[in-house]
Amino acid sequence: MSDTTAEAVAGRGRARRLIGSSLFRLMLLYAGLFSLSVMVLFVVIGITTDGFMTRQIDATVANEVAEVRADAGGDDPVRLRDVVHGLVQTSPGFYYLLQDRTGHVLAGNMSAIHPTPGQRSLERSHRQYASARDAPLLGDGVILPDGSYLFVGSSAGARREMRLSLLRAFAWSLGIIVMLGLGGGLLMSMLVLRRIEAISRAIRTIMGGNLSQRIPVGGSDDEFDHLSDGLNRMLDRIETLVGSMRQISNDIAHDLRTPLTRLRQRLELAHRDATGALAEQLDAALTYLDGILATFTSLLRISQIEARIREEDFTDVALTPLVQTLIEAYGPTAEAQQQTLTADLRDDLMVRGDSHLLTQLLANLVENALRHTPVGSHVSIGGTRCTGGIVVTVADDGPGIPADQHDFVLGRFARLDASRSTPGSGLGLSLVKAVAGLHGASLELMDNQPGLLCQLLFRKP
Amino acid sequence: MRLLLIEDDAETAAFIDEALRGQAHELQLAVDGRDGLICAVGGGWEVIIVDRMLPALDGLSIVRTLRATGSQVPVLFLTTLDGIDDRVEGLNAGADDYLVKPFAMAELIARIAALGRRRERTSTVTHLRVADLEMDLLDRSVRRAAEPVMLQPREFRLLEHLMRHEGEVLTRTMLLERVWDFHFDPNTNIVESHVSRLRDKLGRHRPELIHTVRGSGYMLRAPDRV
Ligand SMILES: Nc1ncnc2c1ncn2[C@@H]1O[C@H](COP(=O)(O)OP(=O)(O)OP(=O)(O)O)[C@@H](O)[C@H]1O
Ligand SMILES: [Mg+2]
Repeated sequence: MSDTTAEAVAGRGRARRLIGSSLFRLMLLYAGLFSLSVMVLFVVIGITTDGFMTRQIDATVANEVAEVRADAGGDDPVRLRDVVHGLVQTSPGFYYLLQDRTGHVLAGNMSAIHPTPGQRSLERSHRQYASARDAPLLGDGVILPDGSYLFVGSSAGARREMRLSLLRAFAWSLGIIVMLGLGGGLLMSMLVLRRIEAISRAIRTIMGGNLSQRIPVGGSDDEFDHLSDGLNRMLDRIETLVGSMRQISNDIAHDLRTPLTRLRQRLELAHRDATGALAEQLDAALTYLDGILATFTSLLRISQIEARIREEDFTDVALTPLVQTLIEAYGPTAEAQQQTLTADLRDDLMVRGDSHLLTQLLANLVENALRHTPVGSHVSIGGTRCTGGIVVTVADDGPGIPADQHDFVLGRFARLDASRSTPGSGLGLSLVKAVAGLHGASLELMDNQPGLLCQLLFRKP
Repeated sequence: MRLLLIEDDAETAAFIDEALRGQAHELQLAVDGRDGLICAVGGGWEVIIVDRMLPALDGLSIVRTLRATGSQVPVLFLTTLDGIDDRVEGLNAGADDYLVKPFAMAELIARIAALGRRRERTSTVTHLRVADLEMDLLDRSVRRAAEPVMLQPREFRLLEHLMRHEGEVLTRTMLLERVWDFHFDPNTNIVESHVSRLRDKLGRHRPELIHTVRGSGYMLRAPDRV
């Protein structure tokens, strides 16, 4: 892959992480909610102003009607006609209409309308020079005692203007809010993501085995610093615990080994000077003691491996020579029991790990396959590459282990009833499990139909 | 051999002292780390045996300091520290061998003998010979009484090791470490089964070359000429 494509892929990954980040989603949600509240605000403002303006117009026209009648000094149609005539010339903001009881227009700048008394809104324009863009008229009409009808109206254009400008203002604010929300969300996610990634990077190196590594603290005393600080304190504690755990097993090892050393020396001295039956007894005692020591050593070793997360002294271990050594080492034993021991391994398999421990892991599996199976069985070691990493298997065609016992036999001192008569302490598979865990490999026991198949999957780093 | 033992446990020291004197070794004891280092640097030792946990100065520091002075004397750690990294740590400090307590006396004696003679051997030999057994390290062939013997690679290594240490006892653990690179105790008689095969291939009817030393290990030695 070329550098630029690699960069592009990395960039795409970063962008996807950014957009997928919970913070970005939160910001989006927040921007959405904020837009919604702005919308509600605008609607409320709209309704209020609208009502206010309508009331204002209504009051003005009612007033104007009263004034027209006052100017005419009564409801005499002729005087009214003159007053309306005059007003049409002098008051451009108003629309006037005076029609007689037959609907014939006497004066004004409107066409005839149905004579309805009281406040009314005229959707259709009844102005003389009407155009399509005209706003509706709001007005007030009275039916005079002689049956004629007087109406004064005012254009609701101002109200429409206001509605439009409110709508425009709303559209603009919404746009700006969404832009700010998106931009701000991206920016903030980026900033926060950077700090979170610094923390998770540090955590990954710590998980990789460097227990003394600490999470960087920015120094701004914000919640991230508090989080890092808390994590760091937790790490301090873990480090001390692991340290004292190591110390404890060292202490146990030392404090028990010293008296055991003296015991063994006494037995050896006594054995050297003894003869006959006593010598035999002491010989047996030494054998038992060495058995106890071996169990003790295995137990300590297993817990040490389990407590260990150091990978720094791992090396690249080639599996083929390692398996070859095992085949050669156990070949004569297998032959003596008329068993076959074979390997089928791709020859370029490399695993990152501790070669001594990996040897012991495979040796334990091979030993089990040779020991817990009858004369004439076949044992094979396999190794291949698969999509997930490297798979190593040790398989036999003996009695196998019932599926419901698979977890059990991995435990310490666990042995099946069938194996009570064979030598062993039941720690072999515990060690296998611990070593696999140290290498981040998964261990699975399976039915080989017939026999046992132990599969190790070393995942790609 | 002139040996220096740096060990703070009086009982263990007495046990070793007694056993090694019986082997015609000359042993001097230092009971703390500082004394031990002074004696060690003083020189004249063929093998130094060091405990790791000592009063005044720990064993690792002793060996590091000793190596820093340029001393090449073989050093064996004899210690209760048996952690997975302890052995590597000990060898990295400059020790030549590592034996964990409790130990069998035979094991300690065999390892001291191997260390003591190590310097006398030149590693550039191309040909090994014990009685009528010959090994050519260049074309990797083995002959007994001029007849070729076919060996598998691991059997060849085992025999090579035995021949290089002719007349010395090699314990089971030493052979596991050096021939198979196994640093654990297998529950299978790997060494026994290989030695048995090797004996078969070298001819059961001929005088035996590989001897079992009871309670210790194996030794390859020419049959006694009468
Ligand atoms: N290949 C196998 N076929 C059948 N049973 C097996 C096999 N491997 C292990 N087992 C069963 O699982 C048990 C646990 O195995 P594990 O290796 O932990 O202990 P062990 O072999 O009995 O003793 P050791 O500590 O010496 O290894 C065995 O006792 C045996 O009953
Ligand atoms: Mg086992």
